[in-house]
Amino acid sequence: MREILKSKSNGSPDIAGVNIFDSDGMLINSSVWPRPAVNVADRAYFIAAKLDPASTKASIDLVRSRLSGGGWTALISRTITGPSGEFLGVVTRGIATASFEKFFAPLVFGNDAVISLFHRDGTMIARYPHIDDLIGQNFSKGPFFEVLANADHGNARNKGVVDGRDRLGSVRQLSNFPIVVVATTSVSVALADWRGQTRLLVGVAGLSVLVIAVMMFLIIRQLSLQHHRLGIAVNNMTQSLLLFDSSHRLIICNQRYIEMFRLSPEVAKPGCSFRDLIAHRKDSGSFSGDIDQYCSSVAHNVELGKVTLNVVENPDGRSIQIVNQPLADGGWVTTLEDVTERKRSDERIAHLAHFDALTELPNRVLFQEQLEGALARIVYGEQVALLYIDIDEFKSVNDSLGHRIGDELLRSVAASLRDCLDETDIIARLGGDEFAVVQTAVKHSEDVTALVTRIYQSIRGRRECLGHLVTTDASIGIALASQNGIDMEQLLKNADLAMYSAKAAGRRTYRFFEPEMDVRMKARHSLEIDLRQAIIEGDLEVYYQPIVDLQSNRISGCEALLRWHHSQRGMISPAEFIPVAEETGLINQLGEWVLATACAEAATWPDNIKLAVNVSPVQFRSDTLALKVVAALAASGLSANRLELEITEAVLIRDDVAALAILHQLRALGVRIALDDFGTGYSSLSYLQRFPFDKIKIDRCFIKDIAEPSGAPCIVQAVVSIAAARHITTTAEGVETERQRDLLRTLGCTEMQGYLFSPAKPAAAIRRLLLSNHDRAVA
Amino acid sequence: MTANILPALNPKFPIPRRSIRGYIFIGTLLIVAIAFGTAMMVSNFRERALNASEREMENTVLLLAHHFDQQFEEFEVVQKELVAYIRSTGIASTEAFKQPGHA
Repeated sequence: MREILKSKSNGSPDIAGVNIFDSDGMLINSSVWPRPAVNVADRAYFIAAKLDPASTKASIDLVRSRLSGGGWTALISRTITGPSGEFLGVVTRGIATASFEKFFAPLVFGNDAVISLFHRDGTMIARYPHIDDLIGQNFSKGPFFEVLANADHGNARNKGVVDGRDRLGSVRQLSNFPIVVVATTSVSVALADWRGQTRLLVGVAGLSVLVIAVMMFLIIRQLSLQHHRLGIAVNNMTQSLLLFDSSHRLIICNQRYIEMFRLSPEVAKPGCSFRDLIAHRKDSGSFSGDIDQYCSSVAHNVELGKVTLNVVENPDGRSIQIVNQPLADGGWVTTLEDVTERKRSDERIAHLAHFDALTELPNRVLFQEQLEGALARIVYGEQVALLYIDIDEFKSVNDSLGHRIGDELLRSVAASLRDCLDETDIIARLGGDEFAVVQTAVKHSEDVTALVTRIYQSIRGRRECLGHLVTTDASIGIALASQNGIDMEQLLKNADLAMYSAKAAGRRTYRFFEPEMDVRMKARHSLEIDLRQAIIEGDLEVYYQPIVDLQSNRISGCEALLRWHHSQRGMISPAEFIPVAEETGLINQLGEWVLATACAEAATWPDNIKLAVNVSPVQFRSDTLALKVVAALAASGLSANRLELEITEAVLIRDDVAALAILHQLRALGVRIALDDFGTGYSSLSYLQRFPFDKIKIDRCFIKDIAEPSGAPCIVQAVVSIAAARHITTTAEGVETERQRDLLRTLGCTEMQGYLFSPAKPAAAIRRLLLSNHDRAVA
Repeated sequence: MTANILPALNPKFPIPRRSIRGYIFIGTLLIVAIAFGTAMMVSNFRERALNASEREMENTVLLLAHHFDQQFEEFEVVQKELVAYIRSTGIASTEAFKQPGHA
């Protein structure tokens, strides 16, 4: 029997042997030899088996082994019954718990893993890692056994029995035995990998947050900086700036706008509606229109996409230029600029462009516009009269008394002229001392003469200008235009011609335009052109007329006279072309040429023959006359005391200091100065006092009838006496008869000149005459 | 002209801070979203780690349960055979069973 038991227990060395106990609990057979005397009658399983021998199920108990040294043993017991079911004993098989634990050992991995074996009633049978105190304890109240109440397996979490840490694990009951297997591990070990993942995740997230935060910071800083700069730019521009969005809300409003209308910054700030802003301006008194109307008109224009530019008058008098520029998004930009100063300047410029600053009369530009209008409005049967008024001797007032007096005179004359006119008449200052008056609705020429009379009445006479008494007079040229008449340019030209005609007639008078004036002017113009041509082509020639000494009857000198052979018109008188030359300034060129030519010619004459050359007053206006004389003398080699310059009183009439200075310079060179045409014009005796002339030439008009019974030899005698007293020689011009010569000789005149002896002759003829008569007395 | 006189630099500028506030809002939202997402993931991973661990434990106990079921079965078979053998020997009473010779 023992052999059987031994064979049955073979192959399971860790298992305590197979044992058979009798009904009293005594061991009667065992796989262990020698059989120990062991009684198990007190064991719970034995008592249970004895009480219920009918149970065929094996029971499993955890006991301290009585056969093998008292170690923990899992004992499987089965009841042995007799044929009639009487209790005979039990057969047991014990397994040392240590053998379970040895089996668990390789399955346990990780530090905190635990595998344990329980009885179904909660008693711990085995545990790896082994803790002796826990074996045999009951854990039926634990979470794993709660799971088993409803199922044979499941998972649960609990607090560690040993260390109190959180644990998790799985439980499963054996299908045929009341044994429960539990495997647990600590949560901290289960989460070891998770912790690593978490660290990585949190790290990445933290980095992302940091990057976002830094980027946000940089963006916001950049935006703030831009806002700041934009703010500086926008607030310091000279214009006011408003930006509205499509819902008419203010987005940008610069400081200048608030200052411009003295608005409250609390109202005029972003977010404020356009209408509220205008209403605020109305409240603060910087807007005077209808709020709704204004807002809707602006909104309408913005909708149409129209750029609007308006200049509005502010209630305080300022002019504000408002530009509304619609934007693509439905909003608009408004710029406002204070253009008060600009507008004033514009008005001032416009005024200056059309009015004379001195007299406040319309200037030429406005005058022409007005004249054009007046010409267009002429009705049938009426005429328009254009009067050109030139203030006589204005230039001398300006020169002698100064520009301030001259300006005052012009102002005074302008005021006088204005007073003479009707409402419909037009007056303008054309420049210098020229005024123009347009008389409208002229029915007869008497209307014009009446106006001219009124003008003369108001202009003539003395007027006081800044403490000086000035006498004024005027030359007036009048041109008439009828309905079917005449273009404006022609009318202006006609009036100008008429005025020159009045001036030529000795000033202080008026002339109506006549077609002949135009003809004369054209002739004069063509003469000027011909004269220029003649100078270039050498058609001019210098003739010489001998001057004879009345005492010795010898030729004492020759006067150089200019002659012009015109290819078509023949000889042209100096009286005709010299005034043209003086007017155009050609006289300077002519005079210089004559002087040089005559000096060169005179150098070939005998030494006692003097040369007389006429000098125009115009030539005295140039400072270089003395230099030119010196140059001519030097070029010809003629000595200065053989040259005599003849001047007319016109040189002195202006009391010209410069002219006197030139005369003294010439005199210092040794050149003799003669006063020509004495007796005509003013012939003031003061000239003789003002400059010590060397010679006086008595005009031909006194000589012509000197021998007649009605003649006046006493005038000539008086002149000769005065000259003699001042040691001035006298020359009688235009002597044509023997009687005249004899009488002059009797009167004591020094020299004579005229056809009686010789007319003016070309250079070659006069040279022959001089040489043949060099030493011969004239009869 | 008065417009020629520029005012002192005035950095005060009534531009709305809406755009800046918008940026701050979006940034904060982004940061919160990242934090929330991270927390969700961490929690999710934790649960998964615990589940994986539980499954591991489950497999272990399943294996052991099978093993022990089989082992205890074997033990039982031995015992059953013994009981059957004793019965076949004809022992009918307790006394007879106690005879050491039987065993």
